[in-house]
Amino acid sequence: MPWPDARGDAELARRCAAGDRAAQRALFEQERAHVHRTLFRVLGSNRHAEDLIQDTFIAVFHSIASYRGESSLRTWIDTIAVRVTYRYLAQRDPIAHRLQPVPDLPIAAPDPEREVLAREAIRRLYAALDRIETKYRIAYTLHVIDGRPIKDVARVTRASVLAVKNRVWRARRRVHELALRDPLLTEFLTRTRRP
Amino acid sequence: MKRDDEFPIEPLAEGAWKRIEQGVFAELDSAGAESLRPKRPRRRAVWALAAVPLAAAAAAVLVIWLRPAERGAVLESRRIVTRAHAQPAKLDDAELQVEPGSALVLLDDRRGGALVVIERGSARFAVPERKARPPFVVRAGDARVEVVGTRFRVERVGDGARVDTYEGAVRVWSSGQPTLVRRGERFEPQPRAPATPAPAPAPALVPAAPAPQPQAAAAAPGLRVEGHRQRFEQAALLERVDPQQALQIYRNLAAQRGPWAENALYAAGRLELERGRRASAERLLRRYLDRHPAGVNASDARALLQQLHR
Repeated sequence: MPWPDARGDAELARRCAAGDRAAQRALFEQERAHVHRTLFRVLGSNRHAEDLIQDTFIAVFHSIASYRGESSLRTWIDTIAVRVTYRYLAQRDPIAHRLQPVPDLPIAAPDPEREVLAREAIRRLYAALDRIETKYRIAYTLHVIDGRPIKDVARVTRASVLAVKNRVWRARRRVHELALRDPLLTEFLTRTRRP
Repeated sequence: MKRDDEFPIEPLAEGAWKRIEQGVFAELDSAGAESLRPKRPRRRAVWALAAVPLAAAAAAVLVIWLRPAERGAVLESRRIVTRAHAQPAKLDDAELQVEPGSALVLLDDRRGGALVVIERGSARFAVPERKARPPFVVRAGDARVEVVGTRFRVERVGDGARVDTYEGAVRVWSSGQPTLVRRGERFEPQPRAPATPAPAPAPALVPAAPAPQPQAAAAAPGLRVEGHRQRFEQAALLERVDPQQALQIYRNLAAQRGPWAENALYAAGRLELERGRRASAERLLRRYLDRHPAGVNASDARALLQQLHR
């Protein structure tokens, strides 16, 4: 049950705030994949994704009465997802995070070696991102990895366009400094043209 | 999409989505319509750990309070439950002997101090001198034991605690009043009495003789209450192996009525805090106090929220 326009967003939000369970479920079904995508991009894995997705939607429903239609409902929800993720990243132990396992390859992977190297490179990229400030990480993952325009990232992180550009630049510089010591990561960044 | 080829997004299993959906809507069910009103601004959260007394029976609740208010503090928490046998444990450089039939939570942020919360039963402690370090604190009910380096025992009794000191001294705060309990002295919960000579000092920590299991609360008449108690105990057993499922059971119970619903709401808040979900923990604990301002867990809930907003 899509709600593509602003009027639809406002109506859906109003019904959710009024406790309309059908509307709440519709919103959940409609937005869950996007919330997962946002969290996955910032976190780099599904570890803790279940908890954080739940936290995000609970926060969404608790605050949906304050949705004013200044942005699309999806962008508004994205802002909450980013806030939930920021809080989680700012609190956790980065050392523990480095130790999370890389998931297994499917048996029928077309090029197993390349897949393994790519996964390892992504893991190392996120390990490098673990070592930079959270707000730089979020800006980098949403803009560079997920490909969102700077102004969209600014909107969901509640920062200015200039601040987001600065954060992305700082994150890139730090990632490249760390990649200098890691040929696999360097090769991956060059191949995927992530400057 | 090219980016998805280079940075594939791993899908979540259908079972995970079902759990998420159940969790979200169970939260909305237990909160009711009031949960959708605009919330007051979020205040800075402080880690705290709340324990839930399992029954109305005399049980010591060990609550560990930790104050990792500093950003980047490393927070470790674990819960210990004993049945027929005692179990040793360590927290920071302190040694504990958790006596049979006990449940307690330990929290250590390595910079803010160490906190132990006794949910039920009792434990013995040997705490090396803290010197300049923050105090080692034990909470049981509304009693708070501050330790600077000593050997002592804390047993939760009703809404308070009995404290025996074997070496050094501890300061016990209860009902807002401090009492210094020196070596060889015992602090009794109620009625308030001056420190009296304690039983013969215990030797170095040794396994205590098995204590009788705490009396379970007499089952209230009616199959429904008995069913609630069983579900609550099921959730308590699931906490370590499947905390999400345990939380689900607590939330479903909290939407019912009766004493176990009250306990379940508090248990959900305590469990969320143990899992590091502070915002959710705060919501649940506030809801508990709104519904049960004089409830059996009210003092723990208030203490926890006080720490969160200090």
